[in-house]
Amino acid sequence: MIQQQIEHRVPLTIKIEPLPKQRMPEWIKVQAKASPNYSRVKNILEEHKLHSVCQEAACPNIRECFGEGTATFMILGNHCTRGCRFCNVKTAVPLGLDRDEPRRLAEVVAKLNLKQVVVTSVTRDDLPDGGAEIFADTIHELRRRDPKMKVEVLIPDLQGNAEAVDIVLAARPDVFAHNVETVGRLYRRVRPGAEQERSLDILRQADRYAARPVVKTGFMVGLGERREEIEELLRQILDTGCEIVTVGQYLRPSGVHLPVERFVHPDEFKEIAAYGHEIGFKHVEAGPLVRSSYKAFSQSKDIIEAKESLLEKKKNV
Amino acid sequence: MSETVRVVRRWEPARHKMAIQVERPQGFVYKAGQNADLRLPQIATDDQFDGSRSLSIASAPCEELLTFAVRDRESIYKKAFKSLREGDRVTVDGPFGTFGDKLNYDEPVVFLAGGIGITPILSLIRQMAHEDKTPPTWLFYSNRTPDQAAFLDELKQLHDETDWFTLVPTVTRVDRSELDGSFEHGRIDAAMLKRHLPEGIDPQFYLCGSTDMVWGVLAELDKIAQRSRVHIEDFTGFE
Repeated sequence: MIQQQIEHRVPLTIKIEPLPKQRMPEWIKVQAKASPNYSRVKNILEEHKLHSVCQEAACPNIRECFGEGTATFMILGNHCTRGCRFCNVKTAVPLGLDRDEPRRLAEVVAKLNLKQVVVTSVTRDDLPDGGAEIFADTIHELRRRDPKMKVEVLIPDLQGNAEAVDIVLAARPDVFAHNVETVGRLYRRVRPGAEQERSLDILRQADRYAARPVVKTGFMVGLGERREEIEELLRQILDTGCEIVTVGQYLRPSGVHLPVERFVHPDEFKEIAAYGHEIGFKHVEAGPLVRSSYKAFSQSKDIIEAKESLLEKKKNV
Repeated sequence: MSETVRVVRRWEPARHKMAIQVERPQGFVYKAGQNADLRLPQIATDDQFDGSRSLSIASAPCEELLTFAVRDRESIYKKAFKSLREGDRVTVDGPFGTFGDKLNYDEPVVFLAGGIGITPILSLIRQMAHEDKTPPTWLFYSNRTPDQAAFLDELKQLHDETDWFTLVPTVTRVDRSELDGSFEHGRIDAAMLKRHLPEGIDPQFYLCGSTDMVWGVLAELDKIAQRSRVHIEDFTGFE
């Protein structure tokens, strides 16, 4: 019997002890603000069978964003095919492809009277284009309803499929974002299934695209990276042509996720931002509660406006 | 938790496959089907990932030692893995993963493994046998050749000696004429599943293998099962 082959048995009853809760420093604590808009946004999303990364990723800023009537939409379902160890989104087999999702999303955006939208998604390794077409359809549907709509997309790595990345770029998002998430050394630990060079290539491809959008990325700190690795990563990102970077504190969503190795002090975030500016980024948003989608358009507003004014000038020449 | 432990044994469970058993770190509690980061300090300074890779734990929680198995390849990590000897020190960090969390022991189970993707499934099967939680269970186990199927003897023995477990090994890179009747031929597909599974059951499917294998088999499962019944471990592999 197989039982005999299992060597050195230990007693069957194993008590699973929850890991000790990590104490959060003062600067991480978020005040829950009561707001009627919070429930309203939540209900509208539910009613239209849509998902937000704010809910799925347990974002600490959710009350503030929903309270202000904004959300970062998560398309392509809420089942992710990757098992990143920092992320709270459920890993499971995706339940098909919802072709009607772009239309419903645009309807909700109209209901919420939003003028700018951030759209992200789960990773869909089961789809040949990783869901790129649904991203493109979503942008088109939003602009069909409101041609002036500002759209930021935060895409997964699409398995490095350059054609799929082009499908998203061709839909002309205002801001094209793809997060590198962590320093190269920690990729295997933090993002199994992803590769740093693949992610950097996606940013490069966006930078070289003829109708170039604003290119943005983000990463977390507190996962065990060293300061020199953070600075090296900032230089690697800048080399791709990317102009906006967000840096935030990793917070452990649950006991099964990676522990926080270090809570980075707000002063150190300031130093990281200063270094980013010094080497040439147009915008660096760094702080304990910074998330790539948090107040996204305040990060890119100046750059988008400068681009638009340049285009206007060219038209008038 | 991260702890340094000693290698107790290293062997080759099949051609092109390597396995080690290491001491279980004190207080290391895990569930069948989970994974851990195995760090080989010997290459930490030369390797871009600090000498660490995520590996499924092939042993079951009821065992005292931890077992890891990998495919043999010419990479810095695999070479270091190959050179491990009894008494060498490695670091274990984890556990991680939720692969077997939803396994319902009151319903039939179909495991689908590709190559070294057998490891988390072996852990689940061993634990099921140990705890005597044994619903009707099938394992479709795909390899290139019979001699590359790791832990095959153990699985065959379980198939022969129990009435709850059925092994369906299949190979993809051998001429059909070279096989005896105990092997299927070709990739796991809907027709193969239908040939071996009784009609009228609605099993849970647990799938682990290379990315190509996982998404290929998922497309076949779409023909015979609802996706809500399928659970995947997207074992992406590494050099």
